[in-house]
Amino acid sequence: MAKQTASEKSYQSLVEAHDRKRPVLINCIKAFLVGGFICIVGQAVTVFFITFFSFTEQTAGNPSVATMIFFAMFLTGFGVYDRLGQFAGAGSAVPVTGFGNAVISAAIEHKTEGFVLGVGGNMFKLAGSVIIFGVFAAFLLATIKTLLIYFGVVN
Amino acid sequence: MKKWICTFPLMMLLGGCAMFEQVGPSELIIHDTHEEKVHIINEKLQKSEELYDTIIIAGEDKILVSYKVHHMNRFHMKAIEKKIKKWTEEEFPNQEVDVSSDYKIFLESYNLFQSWEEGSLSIEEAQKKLDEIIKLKNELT
Repeated sequence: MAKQTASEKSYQSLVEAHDRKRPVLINCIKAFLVGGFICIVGQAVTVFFITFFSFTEQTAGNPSVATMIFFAMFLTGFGVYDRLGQFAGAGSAVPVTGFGNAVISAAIEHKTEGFVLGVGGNMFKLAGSVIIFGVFAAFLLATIKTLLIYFGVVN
Repeated sequence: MKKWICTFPLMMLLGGCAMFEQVGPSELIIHDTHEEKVHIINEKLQKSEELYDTIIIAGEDKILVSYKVHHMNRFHMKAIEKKIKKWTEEEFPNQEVDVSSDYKIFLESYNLFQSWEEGSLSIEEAQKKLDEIIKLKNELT
């Protein structure tokens, strides 16, 4: 960064004096509580799948994640998740539900530009990197495992 | 809104308690040939401090052991499973013993145990149900 001049420094201190302090601790507590609440719902969904369908603790993860994303998409459509996001910040973005919110909010935002170029083209603007990362990581790991099995390192 | 904030976590908390309810220890012997082995396994599991609820089911050629782990020991779940598996392999080298700490396997085992106790299952049906549970246990995806 370039060196600040004296007037810039004095302006900076003036800004700091008048700027409202960020309530970091309160934000953290809000994020913790809301994030924890989303996880409680997720756990309830997992237990539901274990109890009423033939999923074990190990295999119930995938349908639970899908259901939670579906819930988040639904709530985003009704405008509830946006408010939750404003209140809780990272608490609502970090759990997997943030993924559903990112997809649908982008789709709603670009709806006026048409369904193909607007919704279709921009839907994965935010969440696309997550999908690409997942697919690429899975491909890479599967390649490594296939090679290791082929050369007899693991069986 | 405030009512919901209080009610929902309470509902979840009480619902969660149902998962930790102790129902065993139970033994189910479909084929009499394994009776002694089941008793030995049960005695061993009763002694271990990490577990608190066990169901052992002996079928024609397989024995299924399912148990619940005390909450603070859930971090060592894999190690506990490995320990029990190793012990059963050493104790009964010629017997196939499936060990599982999965809640679903426990639940299904308990359902099988209950309907067996009620007498609503024939040997073939119970054996078929046991095979289904073992198949479910080995599923990964």
